[in-house]
Amino acid sequence: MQIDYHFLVSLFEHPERLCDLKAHQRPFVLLILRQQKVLPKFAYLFFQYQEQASNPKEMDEKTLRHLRNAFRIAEKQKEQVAFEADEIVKALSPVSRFVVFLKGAAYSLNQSEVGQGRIYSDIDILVNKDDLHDCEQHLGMHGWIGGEITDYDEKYYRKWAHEIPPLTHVHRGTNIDVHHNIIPVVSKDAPNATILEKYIVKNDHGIQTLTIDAQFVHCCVHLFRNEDYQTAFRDILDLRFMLIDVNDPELKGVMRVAKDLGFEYEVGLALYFVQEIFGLALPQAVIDKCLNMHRFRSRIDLWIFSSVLLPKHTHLKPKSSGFKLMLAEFRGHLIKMPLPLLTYHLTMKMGRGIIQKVMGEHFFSRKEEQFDPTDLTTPPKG
Amino acid sequence: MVDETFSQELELKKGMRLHPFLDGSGIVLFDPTRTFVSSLNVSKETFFGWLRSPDELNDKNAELLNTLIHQGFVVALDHAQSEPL
Amino acid sequence: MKTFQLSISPFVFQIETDIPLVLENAKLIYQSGYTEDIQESTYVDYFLSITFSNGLRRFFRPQARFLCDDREPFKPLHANQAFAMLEWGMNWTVAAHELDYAIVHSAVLAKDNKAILFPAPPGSGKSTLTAHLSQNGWRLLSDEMALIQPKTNRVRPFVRPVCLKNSSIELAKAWFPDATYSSIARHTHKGDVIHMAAPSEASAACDEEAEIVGIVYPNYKADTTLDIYPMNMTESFMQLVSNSFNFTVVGNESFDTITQVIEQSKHFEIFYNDLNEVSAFLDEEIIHAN
Repeated sequence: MQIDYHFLVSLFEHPERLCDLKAHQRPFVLLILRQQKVLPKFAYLFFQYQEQASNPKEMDEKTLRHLRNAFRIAEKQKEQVAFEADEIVKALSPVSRFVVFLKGAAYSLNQSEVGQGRIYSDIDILVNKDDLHDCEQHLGMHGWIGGEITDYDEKYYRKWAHEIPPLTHVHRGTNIDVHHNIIPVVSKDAPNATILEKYIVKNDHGIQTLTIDAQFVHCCVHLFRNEDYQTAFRDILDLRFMLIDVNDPELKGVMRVAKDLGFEYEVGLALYFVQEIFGLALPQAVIDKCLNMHRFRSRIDLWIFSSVLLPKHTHLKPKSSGFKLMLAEFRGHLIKMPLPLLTYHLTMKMGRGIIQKVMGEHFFSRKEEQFDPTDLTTPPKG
Repeated sequence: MVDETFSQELELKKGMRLHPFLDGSGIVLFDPTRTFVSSLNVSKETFFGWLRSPDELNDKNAELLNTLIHQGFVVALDHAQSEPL
Repeated sequence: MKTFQLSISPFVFQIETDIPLVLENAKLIYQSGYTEDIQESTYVDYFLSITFSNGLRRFFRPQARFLCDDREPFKPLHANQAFAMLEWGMNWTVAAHELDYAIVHSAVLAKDNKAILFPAPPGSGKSTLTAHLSQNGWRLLSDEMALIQPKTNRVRPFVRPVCLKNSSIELAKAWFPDATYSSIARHTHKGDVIHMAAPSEASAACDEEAEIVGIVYPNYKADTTLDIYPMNMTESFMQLVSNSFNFTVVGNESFDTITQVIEQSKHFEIFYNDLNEVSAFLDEEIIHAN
């Protein structure tokens, strides 16, 4: 069973179209959406449709059950992230000038449209760079400690990346990524972190995030300076729904932030693809202006990303281009780091890749990473 | 460890659930956000008695109450916000 | 690579495998629930795969890896354990996704549509007890997981084979020579493991719910006759919750469901070595009490 990707994408504008498939075809859609980490989002949209339509189309009970299951996980995460956010703020407010929640956590904490049905595995926070060391210590005192990572990864994180190695809470198992900038410092484009400060806002619960315009820009930057595009569709979907929160057809606020931080080009690319993929009418002049900043580069990027940002799955047709995906990921490395360093990083990673190919994929996996299949019980903490 | 809180009245934290079992064997407390449970082998009435006058408890019960405070089920009574249970 | 479906009410699994042992055992254990003749019109709940992992290792130490979609919840195991791994993988899949039910790690057996849950840690003799009861007048609803309908005390069957370990393998084969057994998965984390197919009456009643009337925590002890300790509801609640798979995700509704189940059931901890005594006790004190 192959699902047409135009159809799959259109489900996010018209969730009721799932009803048009035969019942036994629907599991393939669920499978793809789950793998792309957007099933809860779709579930949210579908239930919203059911609630609002005067005469909603019929849906089979099994599919409804799968949608309920998926949506529940997202709702639980939202509840949990509110709790975790309070704990993080408690731990860090004595030591960091600001504790800003980024990406998925921010979407949830602000109760924004983009946060509905959004799932994520880490809570990303931005702290003041000078306070980074103290933050790590204070998080440690509150139970968040670094997991086991290889020496090479450790060095990479410490020296070059814009975050410290991920921390995991000893009891609750929640993960935090602590950033001190929104893109790695080795990249020459890294904006001065202090510029970001003026875009910090506080919600009614005292939680700090970036303004919605700055969140939009951050999401664009993240998308086009990434080196993993397996679930890039989720990011482009985020942008699409963030437009509802931005709530400005002219996108003036977004463009102001983009210009200020030096990311107009990335925002232009993102808008181009959101328009292309979801068939929305966005201000063409704004997009053209951004893309014309790098005429040659934009031609290449538009070509590379034309299929990379679409959902990817063996049950989708037409097949996405593996070659373009590879280019996109290489490009992600390229713009994050200067070339000599990049070569080193890739060879290190590739060396391990080769050993894994020869020895079987689990040569490097450590015991703690996976469950013992005989021990299925997950007792509530305490 | 935080015995000084016992100098004032306590209450069940907002949002926490309490269920007394039919057979009178005890109560369970449930924190829906953290999905954390704790149990006590006393009746609901006895438990609320503890909250009203925590300073009168013997050492063993005081320790139990202390555990509930650490687990985040019980907090100092906030007169401004308290509502009847 | 072969594809087959297992129809195990209320779920349908579609499984891809290149391991002959998996096909042979699945066919043997699930009988009419097994099909290689994939019907387009069947609604598939979960797509799983269990395959040899790649690399040179396959030739000197063949391993099987289990995938649910593209997630791999377990470390690979030796390929001779592949069928057991599929069984555990299906348990994981249900426990990790299904939130409509309150799911408790427990055996479930019923008589007259009155069900008893047996939540117990490994080593308690739970599975031997389950095998015995399922062959002696009790209906097997599940060996590993109780699917409880939310805010009721009704449990839904999820009829699967009984997983027997080590010395109980020979015991079961001697007691129930006519039952159907999988091949033995040697040297797993649990020791040697075998799966015993559910009796056909149990499979036939795979959609008949039962009302939970008792919760019994079994402990096998070689040197004891039947010792019975009534348990109070508070204790039993805490134990049941600690055996729940999805309590932490479902939250409030699960709390309501489990408190309700607790209040409508009798609770015992038992120490036993004679399975017939246990059966008689359950019959008199729980099923036919009042």
